[in-house]
Amino acid sequence: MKEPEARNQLSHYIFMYRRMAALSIRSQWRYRKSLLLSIAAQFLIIGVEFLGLFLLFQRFNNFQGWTLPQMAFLYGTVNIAFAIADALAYGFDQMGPLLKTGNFDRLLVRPLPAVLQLLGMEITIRRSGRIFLGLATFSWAAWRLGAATVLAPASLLLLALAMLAGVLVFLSLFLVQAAFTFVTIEGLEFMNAFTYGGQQTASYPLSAYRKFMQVLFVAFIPIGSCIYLPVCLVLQKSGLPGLPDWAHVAGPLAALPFMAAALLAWRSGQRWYSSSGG
Amino acid sequence: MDEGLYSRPTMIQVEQLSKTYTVLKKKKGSLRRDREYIKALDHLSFTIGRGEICGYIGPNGAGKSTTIKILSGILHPDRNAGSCLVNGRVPWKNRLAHVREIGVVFGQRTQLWWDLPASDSFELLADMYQVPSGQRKERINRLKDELELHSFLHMPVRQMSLGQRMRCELSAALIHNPPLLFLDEPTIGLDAPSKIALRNFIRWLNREYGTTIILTTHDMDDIEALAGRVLLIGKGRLLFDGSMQALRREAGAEKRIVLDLASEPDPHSMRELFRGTELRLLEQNKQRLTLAFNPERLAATEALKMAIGNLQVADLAVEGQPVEELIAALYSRHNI
Amino acid sequence: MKKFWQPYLAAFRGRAKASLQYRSAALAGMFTQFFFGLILTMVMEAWYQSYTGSAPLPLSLHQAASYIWLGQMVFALIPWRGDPELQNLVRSGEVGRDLVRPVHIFSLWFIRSLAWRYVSVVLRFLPILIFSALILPHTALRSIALMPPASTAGLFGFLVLLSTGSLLSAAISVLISCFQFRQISAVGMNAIAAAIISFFSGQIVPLPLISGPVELIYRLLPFRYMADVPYRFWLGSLTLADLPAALTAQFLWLAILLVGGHFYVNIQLRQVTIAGG
Repeated sequence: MKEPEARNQLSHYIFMYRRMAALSIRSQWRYRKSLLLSIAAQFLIIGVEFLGLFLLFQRFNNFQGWTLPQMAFLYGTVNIAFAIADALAYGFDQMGPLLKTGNFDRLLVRPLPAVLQLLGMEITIRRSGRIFLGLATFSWAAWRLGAATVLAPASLLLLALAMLAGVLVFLSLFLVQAAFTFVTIEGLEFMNAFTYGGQQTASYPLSAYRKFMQVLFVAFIPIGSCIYLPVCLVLQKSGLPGLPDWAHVAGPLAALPFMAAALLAWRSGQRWYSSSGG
Repeated sequence: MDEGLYSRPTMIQVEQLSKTYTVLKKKKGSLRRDREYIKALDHLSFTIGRGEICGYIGPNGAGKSTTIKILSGILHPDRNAGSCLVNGRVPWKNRLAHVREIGVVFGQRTQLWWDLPASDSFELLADMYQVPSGQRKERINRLKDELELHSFLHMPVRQMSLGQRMRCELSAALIHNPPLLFLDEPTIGLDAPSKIALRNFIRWLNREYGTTIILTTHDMDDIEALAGRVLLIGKGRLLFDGSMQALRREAGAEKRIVLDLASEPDPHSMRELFRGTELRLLEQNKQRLTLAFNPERLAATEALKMAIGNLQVADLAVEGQPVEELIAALYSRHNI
Repeated sequence: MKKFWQPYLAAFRGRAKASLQYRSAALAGMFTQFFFGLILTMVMEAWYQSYTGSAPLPLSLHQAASYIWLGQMVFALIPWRGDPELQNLVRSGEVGRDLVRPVHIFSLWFIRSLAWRYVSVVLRFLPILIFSALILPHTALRSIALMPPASTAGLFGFLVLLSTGSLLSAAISVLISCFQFRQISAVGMNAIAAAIISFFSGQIVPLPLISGPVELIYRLLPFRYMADVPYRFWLGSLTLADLPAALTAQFLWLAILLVGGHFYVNIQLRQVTIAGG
């Protein structure tokens, strides 16, 4: 008896998310002009990041045996995943102000889980500049590397999986950050080390870092497992020493336990909130 | 209490409810923080029947919003301290099911999408509460008519006046026709016509749908216009529960006689005139005298006779004591 | 004379005090900067390990890593966004409050911005210095630690240029904030400014490693004088003999920005007054 009801519930949630997302995009569309400016700005930001990479290549010729197109391939994959997560996570970002103004209570008197309402609060189009440049970088890299090899069906599937997993890991990080806000109210800047820092770290081959950093981003915050390892397989680069081949394929699965942990953190945060009253 | 044949079925039952907040206080010159416990609700009990409009009043920090937060499922009360049943449910046990059947309006916060027309918000909320499509149209039209939303329904919320916005807020909270509505300072900052329109609507809602309404406010005119019953709390305890008239009696409300005299009298002689009588001279401002008396001790006709007796009166009025003063008197009597 | 300074002094003190309130935020920011510093220096180390060319590199690894740590240390001094308080002031229209006061608007904002930056830098400077220069050398990460200043003269040049550079920085952040007047998205303008300024001040790639046309551009812009140039004194690639030229360039830019900013603000304010009716 319970089964169909749960499925109904889920389809209602999905329906509501799509409704909220559509509304959010419509309301942003009212400010097209400033939207375009923001997207252009985003373009510029990661443009200078990439310019930096390019200039360093000119100076040093290679990075740990990786060529520029190979680096761009990894860089593009990571940045597309990060940009999608960043655009979806606007509501998580707003937790500090929501709690300070008491508006979070508004979400709690509505018949939808708070996480879903936060996710639906806004899909930030102006953060999507990074997606476009990520795509551009990725496409350029794929063309230079020979699309036939790096985008063969098996590789493509693995890459899609890697990107999806990457989005989930970044979203989970933002969710943990939001969960902390229940206790600290002030936004937690130190979590930026793992969100933006994670994106920065994962944009370079993980082999460049010292051991503790590798362990951190493979085992604890598995953005490396989700993106770097599969990308290594696709580019036929040796990944991390001591890791078996299957780990490169199975890497993206690491997103699932991480997401579960993040949801758990959120739940205990919300429980803390409703028993302490903020 | 008399559980008579005509008593209403219960909507809210609160028994011995307590809520304690823990506050970390930083001591000066020390890194350690001391825990301080603040009892926001202290074994609070009351019952509200279906279809009642209840004013819930008390000074700031009395526990009003804590109560509302618990009743609407936002906050958990202290463990093992009392019980609380709203609409047959423990609010915090199954939040999603509970909130489906209540409406909440926080006067100073919006639940509408700021950049979009209110009509979009209504549709979205109707989806969220899964209002069947057959009922939804009728419901929205009804609210639209009663609250006269037509002229601004398709305007972005951010461009609306406060009065227009409040009317939309109210509609938004009622799309799913909840049997129970919490109104938190609904008329704050509104101009007089908007206030009156809002009150009329609330009365209509209560009559038409039998909606139970809990109204927290500092505006005593709201209470007097709407609430058949007043709950007064202070320091987390229930101090008074009854009708407005009973509240007046409890507070020892005075009546006032305002006299406009034909000519400006000498202040000293006026004070002398009422010395030792049941009439008290409250104020003298040019030709206007304000006298007070306790209706329990002095009948109104007697008071009038005494007041007019030896004076040349051009105009007069008898008034009740302003509710604000009554409440202030009650607060100070209870030391809150 | 004392009277004349009073409102500006009060503005400085008030903002500094308010900024000090955010100590916990600064603490969190510090952790983020440790972390970013580690990531960036490790990547830099990997670049150096990958180099197989024969031409000598413009910086040694130790110098390049130090450059990155110095960047983390004075991070708050780089005006990579407008002054948030000032931007709120303009957005909410409360800017009118300042307009009715008998003070020079641009100077007042400039002073406030300066106080905010000073406090932010002071809160972060020392912990990151201790971490990168005193702790790291005793760990396995000694190759990417912050090296001590090349000489006493180098330290002197660094400190002098940094403190005068902060004036430049405050002026730029007021200017960025003033874009808010144009009603276009501050978010967009902030982001564009952030991109340009962080790159051309040397926060993304150490500027000495860059050659070719980009080098020409960064030399023509004012942003390196708040960061890159002082760093070079610490690293020893510039010496005391270069100090007068650096100072002259800084003050030239400062003068241009202050005068330009003053006129820009006045023009914008006039328009605001008209629009506000």
